[in-house]
Amino acid sequence: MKIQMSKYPGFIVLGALMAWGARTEAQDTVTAITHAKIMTVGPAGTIENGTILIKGGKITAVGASVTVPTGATIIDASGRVVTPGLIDAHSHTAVEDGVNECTNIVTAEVRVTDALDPRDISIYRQLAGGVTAANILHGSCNSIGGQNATIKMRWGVASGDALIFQGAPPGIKFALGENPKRSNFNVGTRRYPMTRMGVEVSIRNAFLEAKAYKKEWDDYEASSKAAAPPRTSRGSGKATTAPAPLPVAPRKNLQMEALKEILEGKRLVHAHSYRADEILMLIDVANEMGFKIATFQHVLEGYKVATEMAKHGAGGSTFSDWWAYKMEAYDAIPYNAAIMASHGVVVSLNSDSDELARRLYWEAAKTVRYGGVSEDEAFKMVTLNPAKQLWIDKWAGSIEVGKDADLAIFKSHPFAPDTRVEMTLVDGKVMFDRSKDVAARKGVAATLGGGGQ
Amino acid sequence: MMKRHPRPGLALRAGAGLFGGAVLLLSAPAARAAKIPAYAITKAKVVTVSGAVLDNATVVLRDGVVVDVGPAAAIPKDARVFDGTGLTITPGLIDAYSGAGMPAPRPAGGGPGGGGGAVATAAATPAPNPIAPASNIYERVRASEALRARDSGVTTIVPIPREGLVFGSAAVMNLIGERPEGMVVKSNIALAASIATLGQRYPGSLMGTMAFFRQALMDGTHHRAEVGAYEKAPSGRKRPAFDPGLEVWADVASGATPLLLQTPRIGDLRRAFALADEFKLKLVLAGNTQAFEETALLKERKPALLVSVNFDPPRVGGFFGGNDDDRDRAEIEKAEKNPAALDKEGVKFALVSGFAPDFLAGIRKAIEKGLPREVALRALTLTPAEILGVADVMGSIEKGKIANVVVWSGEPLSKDAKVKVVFVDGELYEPEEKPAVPPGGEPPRPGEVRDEVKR
Amino acid sequence: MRIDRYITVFACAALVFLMPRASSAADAPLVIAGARVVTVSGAVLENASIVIQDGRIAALGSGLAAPAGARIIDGRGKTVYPGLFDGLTTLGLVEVGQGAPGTVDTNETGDVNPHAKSWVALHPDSELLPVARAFGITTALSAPGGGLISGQSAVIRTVGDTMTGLTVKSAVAMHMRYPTGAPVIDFSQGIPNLEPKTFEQRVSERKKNQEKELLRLRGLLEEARAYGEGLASGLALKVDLPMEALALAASGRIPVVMRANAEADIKGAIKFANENKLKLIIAGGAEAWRCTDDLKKSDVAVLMGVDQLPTREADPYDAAYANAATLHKAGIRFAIVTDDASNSRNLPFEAAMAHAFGLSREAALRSITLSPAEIFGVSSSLGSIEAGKAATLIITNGDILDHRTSITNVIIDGREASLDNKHQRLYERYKARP
Repeated sequence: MKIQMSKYPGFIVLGALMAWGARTEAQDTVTAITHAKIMTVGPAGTIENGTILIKGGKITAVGASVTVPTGATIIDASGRVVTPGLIDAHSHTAVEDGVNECTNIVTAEVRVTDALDPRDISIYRQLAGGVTAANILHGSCNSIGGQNATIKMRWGVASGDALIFQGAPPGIKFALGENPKRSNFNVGTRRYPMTRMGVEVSIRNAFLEAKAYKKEWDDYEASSKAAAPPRTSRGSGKATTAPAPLPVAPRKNLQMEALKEILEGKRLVHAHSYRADEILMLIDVANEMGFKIATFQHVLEGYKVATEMAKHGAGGSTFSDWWAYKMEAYDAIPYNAAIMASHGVVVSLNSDSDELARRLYWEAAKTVRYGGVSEDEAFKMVTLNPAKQLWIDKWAGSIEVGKDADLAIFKSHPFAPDTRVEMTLVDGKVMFDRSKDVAARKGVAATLGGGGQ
Repeated sequence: MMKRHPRPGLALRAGAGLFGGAVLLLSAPAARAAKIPAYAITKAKVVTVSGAVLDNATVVLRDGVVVDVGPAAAIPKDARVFDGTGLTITPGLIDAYSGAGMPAPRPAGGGPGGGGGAVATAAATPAPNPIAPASNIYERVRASEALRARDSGVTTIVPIPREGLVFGSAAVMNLIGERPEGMVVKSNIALAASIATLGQRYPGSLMGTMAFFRQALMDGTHHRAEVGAYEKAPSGRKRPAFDPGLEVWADVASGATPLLLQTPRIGDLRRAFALADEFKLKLVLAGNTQAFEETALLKERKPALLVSVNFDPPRVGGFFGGNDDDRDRAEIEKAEKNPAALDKEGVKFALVSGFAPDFLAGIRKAIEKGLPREVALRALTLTPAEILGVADVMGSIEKGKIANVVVWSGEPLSKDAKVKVVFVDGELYEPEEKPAVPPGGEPPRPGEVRDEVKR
Repeated sequence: MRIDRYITVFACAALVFLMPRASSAADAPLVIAGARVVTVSGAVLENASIVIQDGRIAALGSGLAAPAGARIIDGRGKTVYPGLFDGLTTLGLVEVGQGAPGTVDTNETGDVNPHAKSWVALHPDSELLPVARAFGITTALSAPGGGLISGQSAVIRTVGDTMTGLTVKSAVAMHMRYPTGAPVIDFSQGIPNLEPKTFEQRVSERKKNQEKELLRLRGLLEEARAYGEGLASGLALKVDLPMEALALAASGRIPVVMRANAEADIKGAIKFANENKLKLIIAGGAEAWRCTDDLKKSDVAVLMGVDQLPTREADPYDAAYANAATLHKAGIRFAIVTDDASNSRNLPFEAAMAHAFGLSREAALRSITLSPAEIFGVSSSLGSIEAGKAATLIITNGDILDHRTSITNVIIDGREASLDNKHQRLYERYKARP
């Protein structure tokens, strides 16, 4: 599946410019990662003994015969495997005081960016699992939840804004099934909707409202444009109709603004879903209302409707093998990723968990066992594919010249049972270094793992 | 938008000088009943805060005002005279974020969780509207309870409700009298709010709270535009609804009324600045106990800053990941060092109780952790007065200022310091000898609803 | 791949060694020939054979003769491991964790349920059992949860037609929660509105509650011990099911599995067990690496997960990963467990994470096979590949710790178990849907 960029030209260009501004910070020194086995996940494939050059946070060269300039900072990766930084397409990391605004069925006005916490230790812990970027989503409490934040794991920055992945298009969380209908949480409270029927109604209703809102604003903008050069009708003494008073701008409704952006193709929809019926339902509603679904999240029964997902152009971001934790997960199978992928869906494996996020590389390995996905395709599911789903593949997801130097350095092949992440770089900066981490341990912590290693 | 009210009753009392120069030790209520026209405290050490420390000086109070101060101040004949030998006089302490006289909060709700969300378990108890921009906070003050704060040397408070999101219009109040409106020195100094969440009710998350503020400010501005357009040309136009709440938000959005914003999380400082930048707000930042982590930002932005000495505020423990006592303990220790760390970096702030059960203990802890005592005193007097816009009438011991002074035995704010006498608007109050339990009993516990104190 | 097809293919290949019976009767002798055998208890045997008869391992080694009528599994290129043993699960007791309480039989009402027995509620047709089995879990501890005293656990096999058939050994352990003093929250009732408290208040209340609960637990144990002794001495006591059951643990006849994660709680549990003469096993043990001296001194085993977050913000990021290696180095007995049901098949991957963070491959494998068998007293028949032990084995196409590896055969008590499961069926049904 190819994402049709042409449908979203406006904000992509804007995003690129914003990115440029933020990315040209002075980082003049060259860093070279040498003697590495490089899994580029790009056209260059895997390079057995190669070098990566980094300057200004970007990859400036990669290959088997790259000359390291004098004065470069060398990271000797002999015996190690360098991969693109892992990308988690579904995360709630680094959000303060609630990932759910649960009080209404539509909360499109709330923004994860407002609640980002750059001090959350999970950022560091996930770097230690090779994760360099994540899609931070609102929870699944409501049919239409809040606005997402695509972030980089820039450990040490002071503000939430500094975590933002510049250029990443804005998105929003939708949720279908048991969570928005509060099947498992409705003790003591009842809130519309209580059924999947009601979930459909709530989404259709919101978009009908958004269309009316959009029209109100379009009309206002048209009329204020028309009224801009005030017509002067002087003289003649003839009675003229007084010019209509300049309209006051309609009330700006932040919730409707977000939905309007979806209708205008400026905001990516990430739809939490489980069952096949609700996946098809949302595709139908999207087609009716005229918007696209960027990804179905969890999408545990995506394997049942992979053809329809591929046709719509929606990606699928799933768990590798979780199942049976609630009714709508009872038909979840670990072959889901493999089947969706074989039907042409861009598939990623996500964590939805600060814990699972630290071992996404092994989540990918499972698809080799479950459905016989090739190792290359499997590893894409935690690198290039989530980058495509979040529309950040221009900058992340593979090791290619011009992309951001977001890299993980593994002890051995990322699927091997003895592997672990030794070093992680974001924007060319070392954000995690296991040897330093271990060396800094004091007291009883220094004995962890049987001492030093 | 700021209005100053002369305290009703001040003029009346000014004329009451029945007892002349009688030097009788009267209990406070009796003193209120029988007016003494003037007080003179002699031979004391006077820490004026605005100027030099004066040794062996006299402070003369009359008609609620400091009429003279200095080694050579003349003692009026009708004054009641105190021998201040060995005592120290400071301006009355100003607690610019105080829970004095405010009802205890009910159990809070809300919480994180992927698919979760809060579900009420506690029976709903009647509570004030947590979103009340058009209300006056002073109306909610229980005067007799608030007056207890004088035992700590506090003469002036900005009362803030202990729960809610948008508290209402904040006022500076002197701790005197029986009716809250009579205590107001200056009303509508700011709209007070907190970056809080409301659990069951919107906004139930931090994300929601920020969205709420944004929408409210936009709505206020929009409302004002609609009203303005209507007033200009009402004919043929739908009449905009009268909405005092939106009027308040319009004033905040236009910068006419400052927003006094409680910032419970360290990240809230940046959230507040971002909001202020987006809407051109005038900010007063309140409460954050880890603010030193953002020293660079604070030095750059130089906000009006209220720093809390409530180092271990009540909160809901970590029920998801168990208890991380190490972290909680470290956070308290960092909080205790916060005022000293800020001062060391040259960040200016006022110290506030932030609902601390024992204000003086919190101040002493901050001093113990390195905050110079004189800095602490200024942060409790002149600095809050400046932030609140009342420095022309209080915050230091100067001729002409309101007679809010405290007489201490021992070094003020030190461990063995005792508040001997407090004057508020020139009226004398003597704290009772401290029983084992602080006056007013234990601090109100969360969930406890106290009866009105008997009058 | 379906097992019946698989057997056909390799039965032909195995003709070189002997002649299999035309029909593969379940109880016919079975031979795994020419495989790499990871015995766990001894050396790894290359190109070895295992002879299985009457449900047991009859012989093991190279150059063995196949018994007459034996069916042969060609083990060339394959690796044989002991069946994986998940030492703490709710397998058989739970079907759908949330939203379908009718399928959940893990937590009894009230908080003192020593007389609740997991083996009377095992659901043989649970879809979770074939899923666990197909991916190598042959054996599990099925334990109740919740409350202060949760009930008694059983060792089960993941194949069987009845609850009796599933049960290998019952009344294996009494399960308890070491009281932490923190409020116990039932999230099925939603996220509660907790009363905000200061740190000091929280700490002191926790301490007070903990002391109270420990006193109560001690009282219950003393009462149970007296009750048990009374019964033993022939006194005609009024029937008291909880006391009768708890007496098993109070008298030390069965061990107590006590849930404790924080350092203070693990140490507290050890002290409590010593004072009350309990045979203690710690479950959870997240901070066991901080308690190695205490654990070692009292020879307490730990049932631990690996794929977990550190318990304290300031802890090393890999505290949970490296926990097992730390215990191993200190000579402490432990088993790696999933403490789950539907995710039980991930057991070898938790062991792999421990391996990646310092635990040797051998120790990692032992922690999911022989170690739990020893801890629960079933190592005379389970946990390793040795002559005389139950023929409970799995055959793989590679390293069992590697996520990419597939399990090709599962043999439980000498019988080849079906690898058919719900997931495989749905996969077959939908993989080629146009």
